[in-house]
Amino acid sequence: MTLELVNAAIGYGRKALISCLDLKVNSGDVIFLSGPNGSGKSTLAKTLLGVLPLVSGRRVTDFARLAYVPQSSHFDIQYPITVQALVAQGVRQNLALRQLLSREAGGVETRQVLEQVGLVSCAKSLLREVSGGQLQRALIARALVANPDFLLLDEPFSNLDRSGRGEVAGILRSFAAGNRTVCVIDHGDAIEKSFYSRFLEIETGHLLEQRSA
Amino acid sequence: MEKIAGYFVQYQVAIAFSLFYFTATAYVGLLLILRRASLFGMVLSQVAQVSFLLGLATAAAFKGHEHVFAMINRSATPAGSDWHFLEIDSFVFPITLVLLIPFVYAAVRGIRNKETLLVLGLLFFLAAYPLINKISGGGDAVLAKAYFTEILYTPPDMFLHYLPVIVFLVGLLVALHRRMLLSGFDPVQARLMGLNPVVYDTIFYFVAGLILSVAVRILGAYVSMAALIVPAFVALHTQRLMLQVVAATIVLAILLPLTGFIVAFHYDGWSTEPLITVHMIVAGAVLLAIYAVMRLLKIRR
Repeated sequence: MTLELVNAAIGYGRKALISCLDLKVNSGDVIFLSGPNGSGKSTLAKTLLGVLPLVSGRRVTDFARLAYVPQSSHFDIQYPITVQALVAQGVRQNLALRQLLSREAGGVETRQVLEQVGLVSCAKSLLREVSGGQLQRALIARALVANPDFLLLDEPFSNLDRSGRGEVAGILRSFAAGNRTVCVIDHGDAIEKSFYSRFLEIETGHLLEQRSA
Repeated sequence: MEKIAGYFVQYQVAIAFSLFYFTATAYVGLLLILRRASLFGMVLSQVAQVSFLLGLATAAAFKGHEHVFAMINRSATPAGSDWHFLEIDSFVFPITLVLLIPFVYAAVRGIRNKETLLVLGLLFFLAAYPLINKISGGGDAVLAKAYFTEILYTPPDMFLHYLPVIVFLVGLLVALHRRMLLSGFDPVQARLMGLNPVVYDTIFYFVAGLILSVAVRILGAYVSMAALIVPAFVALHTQRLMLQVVAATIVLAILLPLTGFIVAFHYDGWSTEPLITVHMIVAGAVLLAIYAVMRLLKIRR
């Protein structure tokens, strides 16, 4: 499976943040994408996911299930939903009309993923009641419950202490072990460089491939 | 007590129907607060006010003042038929929809300084209403009635005329409840799940605008504002889970106005609608205070 951007210009509306962009992501790639604040990392992420249209160029992919872990600081943590309900947002059937008054679908999958990320004990906690690390893991769990073949994470290590970073890195490592594709976006240096197979950097409106591990 | 019971019997139809409109408004209010868009709701209530006046002014321009007076008078009496309401609606609702467009655009597109634009809109419509009223030849009594309608004297025909429309619109929001929540909470995740948040947001804001424009005509602008904010605000601060919040909003949207009617019947020489408005806010504050004390005691134990 591949995801390809061909001669693409990305941005909002008609304004291109990055242009002349050629990028091919292969199945099993573990990518670290870096760049300064405001360089267009999140814009590139949304373009790769297909939620933001290209300004020009082409996007071709045969990845069937793409998942995204947004920056946890972008969330309204006062929202009255539990960690379990947040994770269940990743189950497509829950949006069906017939689920309106019934229990949330995908209960087994949700529980399995909560176990996988070590959040069973706080499944019933509200978002405002959990720590930054737990919220980050809950967001990863929401992405994992869809059983994605391409996982894209936007600054998953920010606002985490050392142990929190270790927990998140452990989850990503076990996900990538199944020859699945991971792309981590961050503005700093990569933690545990050996984990990544490719390093990309956005610099002054261009995407550069630094080196392969 | 006997006096209050007597009033309840006398106005049972108006009370029962108005409680339905209170509930519908409170549900819209909850969805607005969850989107952090309660200010948008305030603007909508004023857009509804102004578009009603503009609608009548447009009708007067086309059909003459006498026809408009006849249209309103027939609608305001038990003898009024659905056709009179439809005639008024045919002038009012297109204007409501047109006036809503810039605010729906601002809400959906997330433009810069959105709050400031909404405050300016609110201020403009609040100030424009008395001026348009004056230009249209309306007196102070008309002005006061617009801000605080007479719920108890609303003809049953009017409640019944809008009932199917509101049932349909609320039903649409309920049917799309989870989708609306997701598109408001996390638009990127919504897109990954195959939803288009722009479509859902646009539907939501227009539907909310239409429900409010009806609620404002039946409950009055200020009572509608209270119904929009107070039940949902109290529910959000006292309940944990989403289902509990929705249920508490509905219960409070019935209980707060109902107890408001009791207060209004007790002080029957006072204006009903301002009493209900103040009562809803004060009772909401009391409930929050009781909840805070109970929580404090629980923590200490």
